[in-house]
Formats: sequence, structure tokens, C-alpha cells
Amino acid sequence: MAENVDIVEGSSLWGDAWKRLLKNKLAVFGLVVLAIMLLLVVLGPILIFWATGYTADGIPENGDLIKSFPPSLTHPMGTDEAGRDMLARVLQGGRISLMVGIISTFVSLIVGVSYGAIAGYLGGKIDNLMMRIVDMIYAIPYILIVIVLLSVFGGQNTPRWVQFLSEKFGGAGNQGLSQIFLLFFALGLVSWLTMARVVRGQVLSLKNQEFILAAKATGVSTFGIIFRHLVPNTLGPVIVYATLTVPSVMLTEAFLSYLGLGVQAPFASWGSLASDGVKNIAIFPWQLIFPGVTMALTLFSLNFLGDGLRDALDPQTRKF
Amino acid sequence: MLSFILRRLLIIIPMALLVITLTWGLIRLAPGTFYDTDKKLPPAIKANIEKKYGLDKPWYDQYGLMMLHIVQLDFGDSLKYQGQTVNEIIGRHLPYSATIGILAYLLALVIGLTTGIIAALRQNSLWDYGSMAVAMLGLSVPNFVFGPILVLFFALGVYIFPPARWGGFSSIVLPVITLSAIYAAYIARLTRAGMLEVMRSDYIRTARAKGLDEKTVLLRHAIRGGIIPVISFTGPALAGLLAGTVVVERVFAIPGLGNIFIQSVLNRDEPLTLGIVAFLSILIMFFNLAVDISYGFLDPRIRYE
Repeated sequence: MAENVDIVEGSSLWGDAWKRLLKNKLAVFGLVVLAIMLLLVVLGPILIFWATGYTADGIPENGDLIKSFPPSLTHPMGTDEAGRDMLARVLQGGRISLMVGIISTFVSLIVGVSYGAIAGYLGGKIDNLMMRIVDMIYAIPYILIVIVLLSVFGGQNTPRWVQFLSEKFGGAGNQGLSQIFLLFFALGLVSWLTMARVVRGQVLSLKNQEFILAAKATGVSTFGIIFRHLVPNTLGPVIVYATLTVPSVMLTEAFLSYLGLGVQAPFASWGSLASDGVKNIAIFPWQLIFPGVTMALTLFSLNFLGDGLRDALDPQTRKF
Repeated sequence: MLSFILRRLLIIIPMALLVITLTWGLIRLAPGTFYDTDKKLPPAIKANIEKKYGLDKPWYDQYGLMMLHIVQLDFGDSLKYQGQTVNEIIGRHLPYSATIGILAYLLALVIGLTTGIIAALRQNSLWDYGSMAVAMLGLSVPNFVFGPILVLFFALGVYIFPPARWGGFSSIVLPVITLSAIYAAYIARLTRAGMLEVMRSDYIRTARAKGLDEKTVLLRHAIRGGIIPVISFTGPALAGLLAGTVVVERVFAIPGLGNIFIQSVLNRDEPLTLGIVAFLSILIMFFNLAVDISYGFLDPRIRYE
């Protein structure tokens, strides 16, 4: 008989949020643009190389071609001063820029969530001490921390696991690439502070609820309570805040590249391409326009998606 | 209230000393020194330099000596700019950064608050969508791109403002606009969200029920609560203005403090870095205190014991 019973599907939190997100046109626009961008950045450089033989760091052998050409049929985004195809560079730069966004945000997520959850759950003096430390790191300019991290762990002192990761992604023996990976981690290590505050606030409001009492009564360890019971319940605000961290670390990377501390040639990121382009803005405007617009469009989409997620995941602040 | 302010003022001193200690530790962690050159220094010269700057003493002696001077507000001489004290350098370059920073924040407040309030009052209108899209664009364009674009149009295209250099009112227009863009965008978004939240609250319904006209409800009641997120943003914004001015200083060739700070870190000019960090962190803490005090005036539900 049981087969005949209609199963009523309950509406889950995540299902509801997904439905609300799909109703938000701007957020869907952001999601679609990001998906296309991701696809272009992953497949684009391979396709271009297959079709035309251009690569991001391929300087033409014919000396006459080593100059900046305006956009044309052969080079849709023009070339830079070394005659490199801008389209290939923008797509390759997108890989690094999006990796900055993803890896740095992931690092800040791990550090910020653990720190905030531990401080909030333990409470009292420990909480007070941990949050005053956060206040103090806030007061030190992040650029100082980034410079110190890059110089302490740069060059010969690059940790093994950073080299390992960069070899996994980009091939062995590439010192420059492992420096870029170091930059990802340095950026992550300066952007976890607000995340820690957000998570701590959530944990403070959750830790006195019955399900935590129940967990304690059944003998779950402190570690288990924090990471199995509290952290999953803070996921909504964490996802929202992480989505908004991605554009902010990408802008910081661009700023560091502008100062000459970030991604350096022959590598490229949207930030480093734009800051190179700015120098020639009056003569070769295409060197700025294409990376600049691509970057702005991506950040624009990320911000819209972040806003949409906030409205979708937080039913209390309905769509205004 | 008074004891709250006093307590917060007193805690600034140990906090600032801790920030200085952390910064000192960070600088000492980084390899390399201010006297590094391309060639290797002969050991005798190296020993002489280390002796002159007290670098031959154990680290705790160096730290103690530094702290002893700093509590007397004496940051010593810059290592890079010979014969100039850190206090002189900060005093000389601060006015440029402060002028641009304060004017940019004021401009951002005017633009951001107006846009945000109108967007909230005409929710879901064309103005709302339009202004919020522009604000989002402001958050998505790096200011080292925005500044040169302004220069291209208003200094090289049509000559209205000088493209760079410091001197007179016209020279600060473009830097101030460049710096304020991202803050105006942020403030507009914060104001809109804050106003929408407040307009739905019970005390606004009460004010309307009392028969107050819409203008009084808005100006006397709603704005006070609605701009609280903007006030909270002011503390971090001030911190961000340092990093922001670096770009503006470079684009427009302004001799401000931001560039001096970056250079001091890259040069391992320890006294200068410490001096600027100390100065900024104290400034930020003062601003955060001012922000906390102003909550009490804006929102009568917030009280300090």
C-alpha cells in the first residue's frame, strides 16, 4: 500500500533560496556572465593557440610585428608593445585573476570561519582577546602585511607546498608562478578579518539554542560542536560574504600589480594588464579598454550575484 | 557617557603600543635591511653601520630603546631621508593627503547620501535601478583606471583641469573625484539599504500615525536611523583612504603620505614606517570612538554606561 502514498516534497532552505535567486534578474545575469567568463578563460587560450598559434607570452619572430597594433581581424583586441596578441593575454590573465579571487577567498574563508567560530563559541576572556587581536590587525595597513609576507616567503624561502601547488597548476620549475601563488595566499591572509566578525556574530546567536545543548548532552567534543554543528549553520551569511570578498581581493590584486608588487611580466592578470594599459592610455587605448572592461564586467557580475545571494539566503531581509 | 569616553580614550594608548610592536615585529621578520646595496658590503663597514644604528645590540635592547623613544612621541630620524626626522616628514606630507582625503570623503557623503535617499524613496523606479547600477560600476572599476580616464577627457581632451601637479583649487578637482568615486558608490548603497530598513520600522509608522507630514517623517526621523550604516563605514573608510590615496598620488603626482609610506616599507625605513603606522592607527581609533559616540546622538535607543 505504501507505494500509493503521494510524497509531499518539503521546501528546503536551499531550494527556496535557489528559487528566490532565479527570480532576481540581475543576479541571474551575473551568474550567466560568470559562467561564460569561466568557460572562456579555461578553454579560450587553448582554442586560440589551436586556431592561430598565438599565446599570451608569444612574441612574434618577425621584427616588424613587435609593436602595438590596433584591433583588427587577426587580433580582435589588438596587440601590446611586444606584439603579443591581447586577446590571448586577456584570457590568460583572466585565469590568474579568477584564481586570485577563488584561492584567496578560500584561504580567507578557512581562516576567518575557524577563527570567528572558535572565538564566538568559547566566549568570555578568550573571545575578548581574539577579537582585540582582530581589531589590532585592522589597524595595521594590510599592504605592510602583504609586503612582509611576500618578502619573508618569497624567492628561496617559498614554502614547499606553495611550489607544489603551482607545479600542479602550471608545470614544474616555474619560479615566477610560485610567486603568484604566494600572492594568492598573502591576499587571503589579509582579508579574513571581516569574515571572522561575521561568523562570530552568527555563532554568538546560535550557541545558546537547544540543538547545541543537545549536542553537549550527548557528549560531542568542543571541536565537533564548533565544526559539525555551528559552522554549517552559519553557511548562509558566509556564502554571501565570500561572494563579496571575491571582487574585493581581485581589486586588491589589481592595486598591488599597479604598485609593481603583484603579478609581473611575462605573467598577466587583468589588473596588471590594465595598469600596463594605463601608461599608454593616450596612444594605445585598446591596451587598457579590453582588459579594463573584461575585469569591470566580471566584478560587476560578482557584485550583482553577491547582492542576489544576500536577498535569497536571508529571508528576514526580504527583497526590498 | 563620560566614563565610557574616558575608558575608550585610555585604551587607545596600549592598543597603539601593541600595534607598533606588531609592526616592528613584521618589519624585522622581512629579510633585507635599509643599507643593502647591489654589492656586498665589506664586513668592517657593515659592522660600523650596525654599531651606529644600534643593530649590534640584542633585539630586546633595540626594542626597549625604540619603545622608550616612541612613548615620548620621538620616532627618530628617517634612515633613507638623511637628517630629517620622521615627525618632520609626516608633518610635511600629511596636509596633501588630508586635504584630498577629507574633501573626497565629503564629496562622497554628499553624492552618496542624496543618491541613496532618493533611490530608497522611489524604490524600484528607473532612478533606483539606474543609480544603483552606476554605484555598482563605481565599485567595479579600479581607481588607477578611473583617474587616467578622467585625465584623458578633462585635462588632455578638453583642457579644464591640469592633468597633474599640486597648486590651486583646479589641481585638486580630478584627484578628489577619482578618490571619492568608490566611497560615493559604497555610501549610496549603504544609505539605500539603511533607509529601506528604517522606513519599515515601527517608529516611522508611529510618526506617520501622529499625522506628521512626509517631509518631517523623512528628515527628522528616518534619516537619523537610516544613515547609521554610513556612520559605521566611516572608520574603515578612513583606513582605506590611505591605500586609496597611494594610487591618486601616483596618477596625479601629489606629494602625499601614502606614497611615502609604501616607499618606506620597500626601503626598510623602519622609523618612518613605524611613525606612519602609529599615527594612522591612533587616528583610526579616534575616528572609531567618534563614530561610537555619534551612535548615541543618532539613535536614542543606543545607550552607553
